Amino acid sequence: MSLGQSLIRVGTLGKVRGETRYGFDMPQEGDLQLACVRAPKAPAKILSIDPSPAMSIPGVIRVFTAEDVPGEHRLGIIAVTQDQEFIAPGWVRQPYQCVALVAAETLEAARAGARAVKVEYDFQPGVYSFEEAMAPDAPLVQPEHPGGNLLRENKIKQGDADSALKDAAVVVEATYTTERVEHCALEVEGGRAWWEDGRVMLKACTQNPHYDQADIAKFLGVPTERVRVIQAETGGGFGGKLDLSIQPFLALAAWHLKRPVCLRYSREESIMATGKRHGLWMHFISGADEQGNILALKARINGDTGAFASYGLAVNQRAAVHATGPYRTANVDVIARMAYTNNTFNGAMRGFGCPQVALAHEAQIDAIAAELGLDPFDLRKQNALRQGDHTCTGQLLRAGVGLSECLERIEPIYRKWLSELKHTDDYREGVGVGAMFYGIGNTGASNPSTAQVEWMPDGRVTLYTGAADIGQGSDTVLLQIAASRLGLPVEQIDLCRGDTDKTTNAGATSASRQTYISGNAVMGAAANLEMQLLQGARDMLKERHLEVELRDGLLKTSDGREIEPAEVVRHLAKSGVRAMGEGRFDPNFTALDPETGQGRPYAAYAYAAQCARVRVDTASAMVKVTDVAAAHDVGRAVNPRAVQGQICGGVVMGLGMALMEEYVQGRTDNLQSYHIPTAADAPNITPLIVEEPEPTGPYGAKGVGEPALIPTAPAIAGAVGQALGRPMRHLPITLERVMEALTAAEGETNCED
Amino acid sequence: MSRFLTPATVQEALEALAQPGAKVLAGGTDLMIFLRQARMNGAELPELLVDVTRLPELKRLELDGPGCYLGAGLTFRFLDESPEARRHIPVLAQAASMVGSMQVRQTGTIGGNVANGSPAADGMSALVALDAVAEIASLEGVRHCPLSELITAPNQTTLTPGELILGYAITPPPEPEGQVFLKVGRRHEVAVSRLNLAACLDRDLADPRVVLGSCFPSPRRLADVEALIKNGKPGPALWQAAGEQAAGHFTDVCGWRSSATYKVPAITRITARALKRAWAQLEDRS
Ligand SMILES: Cc1cc2nc3c(=O)[nH]c(=O)nc-3n(C[C@H](O)[C@H](O)[C@H](O)COP(=O)(O)OP(=O)(O)OC[C@H]3O[C@@H](n4cnc5c(N)ncnc54)[C@H](O)[C@@H]3O)c2cc1C
Repeated sequence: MSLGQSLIRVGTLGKVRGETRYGFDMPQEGDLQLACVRAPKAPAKILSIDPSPAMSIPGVIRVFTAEDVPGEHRLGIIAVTQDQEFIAPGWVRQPYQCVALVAAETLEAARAGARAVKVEYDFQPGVYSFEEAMAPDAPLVQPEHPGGNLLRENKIKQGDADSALKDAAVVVEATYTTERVEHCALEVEGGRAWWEDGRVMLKACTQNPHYDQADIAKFLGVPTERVRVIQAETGGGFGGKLDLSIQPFLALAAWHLKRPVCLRYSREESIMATGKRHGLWMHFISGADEQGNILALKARINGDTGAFASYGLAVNQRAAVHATGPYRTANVDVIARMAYTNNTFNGAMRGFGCPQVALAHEAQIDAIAAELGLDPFDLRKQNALRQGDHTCTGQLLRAGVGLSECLERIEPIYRKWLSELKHTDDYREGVGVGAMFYGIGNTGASNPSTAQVEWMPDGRVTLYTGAADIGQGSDTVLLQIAASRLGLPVEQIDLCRGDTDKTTNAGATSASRQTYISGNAVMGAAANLEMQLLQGARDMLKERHLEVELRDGLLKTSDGREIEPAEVVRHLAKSGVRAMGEGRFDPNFTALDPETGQGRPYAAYAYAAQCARVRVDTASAMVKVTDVAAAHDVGRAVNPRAVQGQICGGVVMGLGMALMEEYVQGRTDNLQSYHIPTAADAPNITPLIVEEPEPTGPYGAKGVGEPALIPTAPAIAGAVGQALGRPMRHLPITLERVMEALTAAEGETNCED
Repeated sequence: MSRFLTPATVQEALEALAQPGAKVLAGGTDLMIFLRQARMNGAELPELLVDVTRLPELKRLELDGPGCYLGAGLTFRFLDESPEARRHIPVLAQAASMVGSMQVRQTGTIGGNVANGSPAADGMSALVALDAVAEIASLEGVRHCPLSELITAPNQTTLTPGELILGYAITPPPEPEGQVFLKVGRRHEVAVSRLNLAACLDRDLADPRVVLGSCFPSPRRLADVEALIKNGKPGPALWQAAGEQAAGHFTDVCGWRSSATYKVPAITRITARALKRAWAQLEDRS
C-alpha cells in the first residue's frame, strides 16, 4: 500500500537534474516572439494607436490591437465577474494594461516594436484606494458593474454581537492592515502556441488548463473544441497562475498568424502584469467573559481589488467566513467589502484572504489574554473549535476537527521556548502563536473534479486527471490514491495530466482542493474501474453469479481462479469497450445566505497551529525568526514528506509576508526592490503532522497547501509583539515599525526604573 | 551586441579601454544588471567589454610591512576567507562576508564596488575606514585618488572611460586594534545595506575611524565622532555619546526626512554597538 508513504515525488529527478522543461522553456527555434505594449497609467481613454513605426522595424510581422480580438473581450476566472480585457478596447482601467501586442521574428524586434507603437492617451481622474473608490461621485472603474465601485459586500450575522459585546467582561478593539504581496513563483509566466488542424494549440504554465481553454475559446469566438490547452510543467503558482496571463496573447497571435508563437514575461513584467495578494484593512472588536470564553466578534474588513475582479469575490467571502478564526464565537457581525480601484488588480494568493484575517483574529486572542491576565495559549485551547461546535456560518462540525490536537502538539515546544526567553543588551526574544481553520475548496459554490482510471490491454494502468500539478505534488498524491484503491504499486500506473484533449475538468489547483476533491474523484474512478473489471470477468467467464475480487493486481474468483485484469480488458475490447472508470466529486455544500452568510460553505476544514520564536536585534531592529513549530491537521497524510515540504515552504512564505513583502505599484517591480526571504532568513522548522480523519475525504485526507502559510505571520507578529511588549498590528513588520516599537518599549522601561 | 575581450596584461587592458564605447567588466555583479536593463529598454550597450579578471596585478594583496596594498580585482569571497585579511584588516574581511550571497561574493570585486559608486557599497565603507587611496591607470599614466574624492554623487565617480582602478593603497590603524563592520538590511542575505558602519579603534584612541555608509551620497568618515572618541574615556558612555553624535551628523547633512525616524535611532545604536565591540576585541587581543 503506497498510501501514507513518502514516495519520491513524480518528476523529482528531472527537476533536480535540470532536465524538466517548464512553460518558460517551451519556445523553440524559429518561433515568432511576442511583446506587449502596456499603458503607463490609468484610467485613460485611448485616443489612437499608430502601429506604423513598429511595422517599419525589420522583423516585426504584425501589431494586434483590441480590434483583432474576434470574440469576447472580457474574461475572468469567476463567471459572474468576467471583466478583464487583455487588450484594452479603447479604455485603460489599470496601469500596465496591455493596449497592443507585437509579433516579430526576434525578441529584440518584438521589444523594439512594442516601444515604437505610438499610443495617444487621454488620462482621466481615477480612484486609487478603497476610500477614494467609495466616495460619492467617484469615477467608476467598471461602469458595467451594477454595484458601482463596490465589487461585493459579504455579511456574516449570527446571534447578537452588539448586545454580547455590551455584556462582555472584556472588549478589545484594534485595526490591522496587511499589504499587497507578490507570488514570486520561481518560474515566470511562459508558453507557446501553434496552429494545427484548424485548431489553436497552447502549451503554457497554468493552474487550471480547462478554465484556460474555455476562456481562450471565448476570446477567439470559437467553440472550446477548437482550442487545446496542455499544461506545461509549472514552476510554482501560489494563485498567480490561476488568472490568464500570457495565454490570450499567445492564442490570438497563433490564431491570426497560423505560426508557432511564444511569449515569456520578464520578472519585471510578471510582477507588473499579474495579480497580487490583496492588502486588507481590518477593524476587529472582540468580547469575552471573565474566564476568557469568546462571546462576540464584530469585524469590518475593507479591500481593494484593483481594476479587475479576478478572485476578489472569493477573497472577500473567505475573509468574512474565516474572520472569527478557529474559535467558537456565538455572536458574529462581520461585514467585508471589496472595491474596484484603478490600481493593478489583486487576485488569488495562497489562502484567499485568510492569511490577512489570521493576523487580526490571533492578535485579538492575545489582546483578550493580556486584558484578563490569562495565558494566551490556554485561551486558544479553551476556545478552539471542536467536534460538535458550530462555525460562524452556523455549520455544524461533525467530525475531522483536529485543532486541539494541533495545539497540544506544539504546546510543549511553545512552553519550552517561553522558559528559555532571553533579553540581553543585544537582543530581545519573543514567542508567538497562530492558529487557523481553512475551508477546503470554493466557498459556497460547486467546484467538482472529474477523473478517469483505465486498465490498458498491456496490463498497465493510466490515470487521467485535469488537475494541474504546479509543484505542490498532486501528481504523486493522486497516483498514490489510485494505486491504493486498486491495490497496485504506483509504478504500474501512468499519469496523463492537464491536457484538454485527453483529460477532463478537475477544476483549479487552488483552495487546497486537489487532494480532497480530485483525490475523491480518483477514488471514484478507481472504484468504478474495479467494478467494470469484476463485471467484465464474470462476462468473460460467462458466470454471472461468480464472486470476483481485485486483489494483489489479480482478479480472484471465489472458486480459486486467478485472472490477469488485462485479459478481461482485452475481452472487453473485442466489443469495443474500454476498461475506463469514471469518477466525479463535488463537495457537499450550501450557498450562503446573502444577508446573514449562514450556510455550509465547505464540506471539510483543515486546522493548524504554529508557534514562532524570534530574536529582535536591539540596535538594528532586524528580526530573526529562529524557530517555527507547525502542526497541521491534514486528515491523512497521503505522502508525509510532501506534507512536510508544503509546511516548510508555507512557513517561509508566511515569514516573507510577516517581515518584508510589500508590493508598491511602480516602485517594487523587480526582485531588487521586492524582497522575499532567502535561505538565510528561513528559521528552523519543525513540521508536525496531525491526522484527524475527514470522513468525506479520500482515505480521510483533506488539504494543506494554503493552511501551511496562514498561521505563520500571526505567530511571528505575536512573537515580535511579545519581545517588544506591544502588539504588531501591521504587516510587514519592517525595520521602521520594529524600531518605533523598540524605542517606545525602552522608553517605558526607563520610566519604570 | 557588445564585443568581449580578455586582456592578459594591464597594458593590453588600457589599450582596449582607450577605444570608444569600452567598459571594464570585473565580477559583473553590478554591470550585468545594468546591461540587462539597457537591453530590455533598447538602450545603447557598451561596444566593448574588457574583462579584467585575468590581470594578476589586480589580485595583489600586501598586508605585511609598510606599504599595504589591495588589488582591485580581489573578490569578496577571497577577502572573507583570507587569513591575512582577517588578521590585518578584519573590518574589510567582515564587510566582504556580508556582501550579497555566496554567488555574489564569489565574483564581486572591491574594484567594482568602488567604481560602481553606490552609497550602500559595503566594501567601500570598509575601504574608507582603511584610508584607501585608489591607484588609477590609463594610457596617460597613473593617478592616485582618495576614495572620498573619487565618488562625487550616488553612482557618479571621477573615473573617465579609459581608466582602470588597479588597487588601493591602504593605511590600517595602528595595532593592536579593534575593527568591526556592522550592516543592516531588510533581510539576512542579499540585501542592500539600509545602513552600514565601519569602526576601528586603537588602544590609545589615537586614530579612531568611524565610517557610516548608506546614509550619504557615498560612505564617509565622521570626523566629529572620531574627535569625540579621541578626547574621550573608553566606555559605554563614550560609545553612546559617539552614537548620538553620528546620528546628529546624519541629520545635519541630510536633514530630517522620513527615513530619519528609523535611521537616527539605528545609527545611534549601531555606532555604539560597533565601538563597544571594537573595544572589546582590542581588549581581548592585548
Ligand atoms: C544579488 C546582489 C547582491 C549584492 N549585494 C551587495 C552587498 O550586500 N553589498 C555591496 O556592497 N554590494 C552588493 N552588490 C553589488 C555588487 O556585487 C558590488 O558592488 C560588487 O563589488 C561589484 O563588483 P564587480 O566586480 O561585480 O563589478 P562589475 O559589475 O564588474 O563592475 C561594476 C562597475 O565598476 C566598473 N569597474 C569594475 N572594476 C573596475 C576597475 N578595476 N576599474 C574601473 N572600473 C571598474 C565597471 O565598469 C562597472 O561600471 C550586490 C549585487 C547583487 C547582484
